Order: sequence, then structure tokens, then C-alpha cells
Amino acid sequence: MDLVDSKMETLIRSDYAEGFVTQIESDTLPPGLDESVIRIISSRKQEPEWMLEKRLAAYQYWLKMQEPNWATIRHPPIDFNGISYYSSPKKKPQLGSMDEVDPELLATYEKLGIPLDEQKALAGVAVDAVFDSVSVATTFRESLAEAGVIFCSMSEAVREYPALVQQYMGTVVPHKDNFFAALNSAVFSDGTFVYIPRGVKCPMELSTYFRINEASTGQFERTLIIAEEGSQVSYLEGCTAPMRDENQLHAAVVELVALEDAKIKYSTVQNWYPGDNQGRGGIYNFVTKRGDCRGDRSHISWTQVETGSAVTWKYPSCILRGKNSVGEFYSVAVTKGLQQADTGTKMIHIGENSRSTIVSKGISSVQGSNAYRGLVRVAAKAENARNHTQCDSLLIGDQCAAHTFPYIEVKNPTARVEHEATTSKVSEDQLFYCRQRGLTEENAVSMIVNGFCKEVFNELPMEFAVEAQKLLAVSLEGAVG
Amino acid sequence: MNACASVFQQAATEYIDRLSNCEGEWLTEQRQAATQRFAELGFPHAGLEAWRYTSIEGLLQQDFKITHRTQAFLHHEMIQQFLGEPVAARLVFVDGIYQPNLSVHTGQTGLSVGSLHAAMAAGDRSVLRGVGSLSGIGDHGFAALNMATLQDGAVIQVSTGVAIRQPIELLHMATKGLSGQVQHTRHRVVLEAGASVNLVERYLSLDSESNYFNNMVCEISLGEGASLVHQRAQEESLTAYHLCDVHLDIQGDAHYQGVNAALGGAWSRTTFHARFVGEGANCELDGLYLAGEGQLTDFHLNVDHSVAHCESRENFKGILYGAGKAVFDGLIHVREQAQKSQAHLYNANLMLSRRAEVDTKPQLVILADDVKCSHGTTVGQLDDQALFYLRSRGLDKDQAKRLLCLGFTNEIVDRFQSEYLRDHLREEIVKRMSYERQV
Repeated sequence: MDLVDSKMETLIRSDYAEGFVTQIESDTLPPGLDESVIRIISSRKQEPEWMLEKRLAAYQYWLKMQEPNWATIRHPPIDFNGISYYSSPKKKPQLGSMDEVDPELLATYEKLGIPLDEQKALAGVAVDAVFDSVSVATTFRESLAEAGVIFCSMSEAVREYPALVQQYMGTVVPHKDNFFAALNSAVFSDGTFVYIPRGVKCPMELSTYFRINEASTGQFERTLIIAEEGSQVSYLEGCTAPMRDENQLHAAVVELVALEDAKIKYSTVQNWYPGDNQGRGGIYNFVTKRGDCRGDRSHISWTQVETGSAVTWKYPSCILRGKNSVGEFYSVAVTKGLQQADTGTKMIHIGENSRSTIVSKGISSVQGSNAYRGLVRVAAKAENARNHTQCDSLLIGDQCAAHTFPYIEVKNPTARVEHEATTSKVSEDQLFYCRQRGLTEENAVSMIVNGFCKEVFNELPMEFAVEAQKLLAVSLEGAVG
Repeated sequence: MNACASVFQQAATEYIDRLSNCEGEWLTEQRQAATQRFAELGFPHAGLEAWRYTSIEGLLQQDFKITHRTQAFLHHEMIQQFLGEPVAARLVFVDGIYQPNLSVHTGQTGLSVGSLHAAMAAGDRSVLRGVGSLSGIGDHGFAALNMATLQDGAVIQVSTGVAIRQPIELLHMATKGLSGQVQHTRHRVVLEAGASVNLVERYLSLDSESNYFNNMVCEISLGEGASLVHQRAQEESLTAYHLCDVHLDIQGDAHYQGVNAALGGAWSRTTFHARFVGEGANCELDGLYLAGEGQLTDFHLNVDHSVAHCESRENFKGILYGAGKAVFDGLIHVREQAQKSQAHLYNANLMLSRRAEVDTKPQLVILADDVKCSHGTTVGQLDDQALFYLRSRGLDKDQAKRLLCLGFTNEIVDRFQSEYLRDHLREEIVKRMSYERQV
């Protein structure tokens, strides 16, 4: 047992493979936040006046808000004035082709295994890479444009599609929603904008790679996906961040709007830097993600694999407004070292016959803390609403913690709501059986953990499923309960 | 709200001033500290996580008064109809006041029963020192008020190794005279090592329309290897308010088996704080609630696994109809050192009407790794196929519904050891389900 434990320790202490810093000139604002910073961000991005007003309104509201403290996470207070709110790789005016992209930047992506070149076409993935705050390259714009799909950075969308942005931005997550959403609304740097027109099935899976690069730079992405009537889109979001000693704040907002018969599938693999063994450094990840099933028969599905970040605070939610609308949430959250995750979902049933499924798998190892916090609300009007929730926790190591806080509020008698949760360690019987069949302890645990997460991995697009399994293996190899 | 709290605070202070000093300085100090605590806490509000779904506005509007001990009297015949099986001891409380003339004690050796009021009058330190030893002076406003102005209660002590076969019954009767008042009762039950007892707690109202507020605290301590069967039936009037905090300390190898039925009260809330203090102990808790028109029923469970090798199991089921509202909050807390814990919690709710509401929140907080914990909760309605089957067998719709509701609750009713209570509860459920038809 001791032998295995020490082995596990070495594996867990193994260096963060994505930890490197790209030396690249950048244009960064000094730390601090006030109205002038917001004006500068807005002007650097050449935003119209209405956008600036929105930002300022959000900022004024944010000033009056309190940082939430109800989550089971602990971290030193965040100094919001110690963060730089804008950083962009010093760019040449308007990149025409890939050849013009800084070679060092391209090499960074190479190390991360994102070939930002024509090979991607074979994989059928369009990549909108966000390097710190400004999108530097977008591929496959043209083939997407043929289908009428708009896939661009948020700052571009604000300039080029102001009508759409004005109509939808902030309608799913208003700036008054919560502390971090308000902050994001005021200072959001960049992000992704996707618009799928009526009846269009997006020809390829859309993907964005986010990287935090500049030291003590907060990243405040803003993503908006609009799926018009009868359209379909699958969107992949993946994150890795280089190693840094200072805590970096990350407060993103993601808004999804699905109109009648539309389907949005949003997948995330999150692997931000989790901090070192003493809990120093690491990303603070405070994310507000929400999907609005506005139309009848609309469908929004969230799938997430959370292995990184020192602190994760994230509740991708669905507002099931349309009749027969469907919401899904599949999650694997892994915490190791001193990582803390407080994550879950909200399913708000408003429309008739709305259905939702929640599958949440939490794995806590060493001193990691993992909490599922979810809300299922069935409004009085939501006839025949249906929810099934399954959340399981796996414990590895005697100092880890797993919590489950589900809230269930039902105001309609025709609702059927079920919630199940279990917490246990990797069972000795299962391990013994696998060992006896000739598997090493590591392989046995890996197999059991993979089996534990299978339900969620099955929901991931192919490329991500592989990456997710790899991530999980690195995090937990050799661990024995 | 603040105005209301200060009225209560003043009433509590006056109450303490009027007390004769025989109960000893210690208890008086406790009372004053509790008044102070109440002044700090005020009444609970929706901003507090534990009270988020349980509004106390209706309760405060009733403007209940803290009154000094008044004499209550009941003829023996009046309670005759409520008596079930033979008992080892029965303590009758009328409007919160212990009635020696109605009470029974067979004088079994090793069993000591008495009233808290008598202990206070006699200044019996051995008893008074125990007051608040498990609950503290109060973790919310109402509990602090109870401590500040407690007037009576039962004191039960069972000596080492003594097994009391027949039940000990605590019978609480509310008369018309209690209307408009709040009564603060506190029970203390101590089972020494190896003792074994069957305790029955019943709350009844002689007047179906009287509105009063029963604000109770119950402190139970189980010694090593002790065993307690605890059967509680709350059938207050439908206009009454009922709040009870049960504090349980369970020593090693002890066994607690509790079963609850909450049928009455316009507003009722029961909180269990079960704490394991020795290894190898076991806690089973079952409950049943019916909430109809204008009722709110709330159960809060807080099971604290602070030591290793303990097991707990909770199963609560409820039926909602009319504009009934149910709140359920079950927390299982497994601390760092509590390895090899097993804890399972289950809550099921049956909604029979459009205006009913359920807010349920089962929670797990697990800080140890070698544990088996689970919780499950469901909200649903009667199965159409089951209804159809019964109707195809010639039952009318209401009969079929009643039968299914009885079936749903049977699992819990069967946990009552007393045959008298089982029959009585089934009758009540059928009655309530028939009432449901009319709304």
C-alpha cells in the first residue's frame, strides 16, 4: 500500500506538461480597474458606443456587488486591482494569411498539439485560437461562410454584426446575474461568436483553444452562440495554461440561445494550471455558463471534463423555456493536490414536457475537494417535466473531500424528478479481481476510473474523448483507495 | 421583524426576572446568555441557508405571547381516548405543564422519571447542569428563546444495563386555553451504558381550531451500547405551529431507531442533530409527512459522522395535496477521521395536487475516503398504470388513490413498533386522503 502510495505521489507531482511561457512581445495595460480602463479596452477594440455603455453599466453595478462566499472553496482574497485587464499579443496590422502569424506563437500551439494549419481540414475542425485576449488567427472562415455560419471572435462580431450581438448578448446572463458575470460584462476581453442560420447544420465541429499567457493577466472571455430555428451546432472548448506562480483570475461568461428545434452541444476540456504541490499559483476559474432553450423542441447539451484550475466555480445551466425542450449536463471533475472544485448545474423547467438529464462524476484525490451543487426547479406551468440526476463521487486518498448539494424545487404535480448520489472509494474487491486477472495496480485503477467516467466520455466528440482519457490517466495513474 | 424580535426579547427578560431564584444561578445565567444570543440572532430568515424554504412570516403574524406558567387542568376521562398500550411510565403535559395526577409510573427499578419544573423548583443541580449540554444555548433564534424561557419538560434517566420493556410515553395535550401562546418545553433523556428503552412522543390537540406555538427542544444521550426506540407522532391542530429540535448524542455501539410521523400543524418543523461520539454506533431514522391545504411541513436532518465505523440510514416519505408544502433537508457529514462510515439517505415525495410544492435538498459532505454514502430523492405522482389496474379490479378512483397512498406510506408506518400507533396512523392517513378528494 505504502509503495503504491509513494508511486502515486510521484506521478501526481509530475510536472504540468503544458507549463511553458512563450516569450512574445505584448501590449498590456497596467494592473487596476476603473472606468478609464474600460474605456481603453473598448477603444482598443474599436467598439461602438453602445457596447461601451453596456460595459460601464455593468461596471457600476459590479461596484455595488459582494463577492459570493457560499461555495465550498477557499482561496486568499482576490485583489481585483492587482490584475491587468487587457493584454494582446503585439500584432501586425490585419493578418492576411497563416504565414504572417508569429512563428513563436505557432510553435506554442504546436507544443499543445493544435496544428493550426491545413491539416486541420482533414480533421474537420475549425479553430479560432484565442491567445490571451485577442484572436490571432481564424481558419475555415470561408467554408463556414458558405453555409452561412458566422464563426468569429467576439470583438469582430461587435464591430461587424452589431445587430445580432445587441439582440442576444446579456439576455441569457444579464450583468446583474452574479458578481463574476458583472465583472466579465464590464471588462470582457474577447471570445467567440457563433451564429447558425435557420435550418443549417453546421458542417464541422467548431473549436476554440484558450490560453492564458501573460503573467497576472485575467482573461475574461465572452462567448455567445445563437442557433436559429432548426439549426445544429457542436462546439468544443479546450484550455491549457502555462505554469505561473501568481494566481490568475479567469471569469468567463458563455451564453447559448437555442430557438425552435435547434440543437447546441457544448463540450469543454478544462486543463488550466492547477498550482503546485503547496497550492501556490494556479488558475481561479469562475465561470458563468448558461443556455436558454427558447424555442419548442430545442436542445442544449453541456459536457465538461474539468481537470485543471486551482479553484473551479462553474455551473453550466439550462433554462428550459420551450415546450418539449431538452437539457443535458454531463460532467467529470477531477481534483488532486490542493485543487478545489465547486461545480454542477441548474435545470430550470418552465416549458411543458421539458426534460433534463444530469450525470456528474467527481473524483477527489490527495487533498482535492470536489463539490456537486445543482438545482432542479420545476415551475408551476411545466407540465410533465422530467429530470433524472445521477451524481457519483470517487475518493482516492484519505484527505480528500467530496460534497453533494442538490436543490430540488417542484411546483407541479405532474413532474417526475429523481436524484441519486453515491460516494465511495475504488473498491478493494474490484481491484483484487483486476489484479488477479494479471493487471498491474495502476492499470486496474485506471480501468476502474475510466469505467466510472464512461457515461460522460461517451458524450464527448471523438477528439476530446481521447484527450480527456489522457488527462485523466496523467492525473490519477497509480492511485489506489 | 425587528420590532417583533424585540418584543420577544423583552418578554423573555421579564420572564426571567419573575422566576424564583431556586433553580440556581447557573441556569439563570444560561437563560440570560440565551436571551443575549436571541438578541444577536433575531428570528431566522430566508437569507439563512437552513431557513431558505421555510418562511416564518405566518408564525410571526400570529403574535404569540410568552406567558408565565399558568395552571392547566384536564380530567382523566379527557385523555382516556388517546391512550394506547400499557406503559412503563407516562408523562402527561397539558399546555406544556407536567400533570402528575394524569401521569403514570410503574416504579420500575433503574428508571427515573420526573419533570424539569420540579427539578428547577428543587434546584436539583445534577439535572439542571444537563440542560443545554447537547444543544448549547441555541443555534437559531427559536432555540435560544426556548433556553431563555423554558418552563417544563420531562427528565428521564435509565440506569446502566436496565432494559425497560414497555414503552415510556410523553403525551403532549394542547387545550383551547393555549391559544395565542407560545410554550417552551425541553425534554432530557439519558440512557446509561447498555440501557434499553422504547420512548413514545405524541403531540395532540383537544381543540381543532386553537392556534398555539409549541417550541420544543429534546436532548437525548445514549450511553455505550444503549438502545433507544423513539417513536414520534405529531398531530397538532391544523392551525398550530410546531417546532422541535432533537439533539442526539450516540456513544459507541449504541443503537438509535427513530420513526416520525408529522401530520398536524399549519407549520411544523423538526430538526434532528444526530452526532456519533463513539465507534460502532448505528442510527436509523424514518419519517412520514402529510401536508395538505395551508400546511407546511419541514424536516431537517443533520447526521454527523465524527468517528469511524458508524452507520446511519434515513428514509423520509411525504404526501402533498391541496396547497401543501414540504421542505426536506438531509445532511450527512462524514468527518476526516470517520473512516469505514456508511450513510444512506432517501427522500420520496408524492404530489397529488396542482398547488402543492416540494423543496428537497439531500446533501453529502464527505471528508474521509473509505466510506460508502449515498442519497436518493424522488418527486412524482401516483402511477397511472397502478391506478388503472386497481380500477380495472373494481375500485373507484378515490379508493384506488387511497390504497396507493397507504401503500406508499406503509414502509414508514411499519417502523412504528406500537401496534396502536400503526393502526391509528393508518386511519388518519385514510381520513386525510378522503379529505383530499373534496378539495
